[in-house]
Amino acid sequence: MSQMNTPPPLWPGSIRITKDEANSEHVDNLLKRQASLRGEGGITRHSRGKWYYQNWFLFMVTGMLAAFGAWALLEPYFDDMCYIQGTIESMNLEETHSGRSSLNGMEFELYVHPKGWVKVNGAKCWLFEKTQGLTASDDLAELDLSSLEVGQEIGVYVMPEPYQMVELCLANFIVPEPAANPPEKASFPIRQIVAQTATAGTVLFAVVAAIIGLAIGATDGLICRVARRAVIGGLVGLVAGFIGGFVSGIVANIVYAPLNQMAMGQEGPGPGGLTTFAFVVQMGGRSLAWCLAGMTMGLGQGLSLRSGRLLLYGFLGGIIGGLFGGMIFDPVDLLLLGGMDHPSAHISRMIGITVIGATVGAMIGLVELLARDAWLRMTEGPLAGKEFLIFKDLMHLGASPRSEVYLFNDTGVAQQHATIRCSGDTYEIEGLDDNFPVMVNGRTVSRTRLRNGDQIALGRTVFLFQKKKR
Amino acid sequence: MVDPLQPDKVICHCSECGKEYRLARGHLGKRAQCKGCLQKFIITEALPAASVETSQPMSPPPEGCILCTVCQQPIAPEEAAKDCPACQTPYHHECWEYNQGCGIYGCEQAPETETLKNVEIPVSYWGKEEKNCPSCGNEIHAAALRCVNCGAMFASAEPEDRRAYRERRSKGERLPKVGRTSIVLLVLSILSCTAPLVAVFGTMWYFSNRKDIQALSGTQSAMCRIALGLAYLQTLVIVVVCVFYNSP
Repeated sequence: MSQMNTPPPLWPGSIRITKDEANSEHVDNLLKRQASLRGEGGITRHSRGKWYYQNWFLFMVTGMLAAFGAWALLEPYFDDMCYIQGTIESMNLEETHSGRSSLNGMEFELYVHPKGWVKVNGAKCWLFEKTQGLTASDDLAELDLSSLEVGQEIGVYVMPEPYQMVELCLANFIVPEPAANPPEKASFPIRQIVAQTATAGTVLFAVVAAIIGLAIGATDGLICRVARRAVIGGLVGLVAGFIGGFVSGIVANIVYAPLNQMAMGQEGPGPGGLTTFAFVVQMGGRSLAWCLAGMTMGLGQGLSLRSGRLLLYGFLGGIIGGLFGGMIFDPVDLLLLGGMDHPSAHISRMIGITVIGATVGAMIGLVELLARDAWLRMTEGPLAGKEFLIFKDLMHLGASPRSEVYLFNDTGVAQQHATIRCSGDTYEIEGLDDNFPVMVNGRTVSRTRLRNGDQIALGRTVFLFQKKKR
Repeated sequence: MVDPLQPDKVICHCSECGKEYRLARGHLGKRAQCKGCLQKFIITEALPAASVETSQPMSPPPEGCILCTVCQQPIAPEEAAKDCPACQTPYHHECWEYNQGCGIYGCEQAPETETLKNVEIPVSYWGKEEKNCPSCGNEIHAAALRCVNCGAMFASAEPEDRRAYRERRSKGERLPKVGRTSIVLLVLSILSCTAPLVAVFGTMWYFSNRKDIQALSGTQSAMCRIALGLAYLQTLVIVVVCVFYNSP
């Protein structure tokens, strides 16, 4: 045993390699070079990318913030129910409504049975079986109709029926003791409030899509420190999102309205006053509407960089994100706020729109992650851990901000340093400047085919080339 | 030893290198120089082969022992033996197992010989100017990517055998169909009413076409996976809502 533990004797000319020397980076580089010369695939150890540089995370955060911004911008102009406040001009609690209304000359039956009315600010507000009382702080309270009298100041949350035609006003909530300082809008004629809300509703999809498009379009440029790309991507995303959101919003309303009408027609014992089937139908309608609206939210990056692949990823991600966000809009509302027993859906809309922004962003990044064929992961450099998608057949790498992969803070990188060319399943790198070498697996190359796991060094910046196996 | 073809000559060998000479009988006993090793030697008549063999006779097998036909060694009484059921030839048991049957040519217990498969397409090699078309079998130019006779297209100039060509062709025909199905699945998975169907039938389709789906482009294979994911998710949300919507 003692002989086994004794190191073998050194004789003249023998070399002893220490553990540190064997594990040194220099040895790794030599091995890489040898393997590369033998024609083997890249042998770089696959370091993991940093999660906070992953596009799904970045897009999710920016999409969420942008959606919140869009909600904050629109919300002051949005009313689910028109709130009017004033003195009761006249009232009749015994009169019964025919239960029918008309839209564009077409008569239809109401899904409620109005009985009795109060006239406030010139609007005849019909009471029905679901009319509830509210306190000044929007808490539900018992409503005693017999306590109402002409001349009393009350607040009424009115739902016009049909909404934009204002043929009939249904009083969903009555506030017998309203706040002393009502919002200015409360004294407006009901048609003006409806017109304002309708306008906000029409541009809702467009504004949300535009702001999410702006954020997602600008994200990559901001992360890569390319101001020009961020501005152009953002602006293109804004315009594409607005136009697409506006057009798809119209289509979405056409799709959503009949489904919503169908759902509302089925009253049930559920927390939202609907049957389970009606709730699922409403959920499906909303998800479809947001799916259509989401189509253009992620197009900014693809359009500004003129990349068909990014355009497709943005399109697919937008559809899926919108669909998913729209689908969980109602369940989240139900879970957090307990359904529709609220005069206004401010919070529910905020949550819903924010969730849609987050899901659209996350899905665009996720689709990119699933569908990408090849990418570069920066292992050494200012954005170490970030993955750069090869989204074009000809990608430029260099210190010029116009390069698809912009390398900053590195004096060893030329303005136009190298190109990566994709041809079918093969990728090829070519150096463009003789004074600035391109090193692949520790070997200087002028032009070479890239294999999965190859290490590419441009100046002090090092990338790992990765390709999806088929 | 007399040369059987020239009876007037005798065969003799160089004593140094063993080079064979055919010389007239009169040279026997004289000194000569070998043309091969240039050494001098005395010419002597070579002994006939039979006399060499008889000088070192092989030891005969022990009396009463039987030789194994496979290893040509005697089968000792204590060794495990096996007689061929057809021709009764004795073998060592191990030799029978090794040979997988009888070693006698023509015996019905003899193992089946492997027949070599005919190579359908002769392998092309550098310098050969023609190759056979795997579709019609006609000879075409070795560098051709398309057969001038039948119009078959090839992915590369390398010669393909008929099976590889058929597989590649049928895969090429299947892939666009698989890609289109992926898009249809995605559209159906978006609609809440068809998503549960996609979750069931799409999964079955996915597992039966997994290899083809992997061969699709990244975007198309991603579409397929996204469609399934979306279908599962929609189905799950619908089930959860149906179960918990009316619960307090």
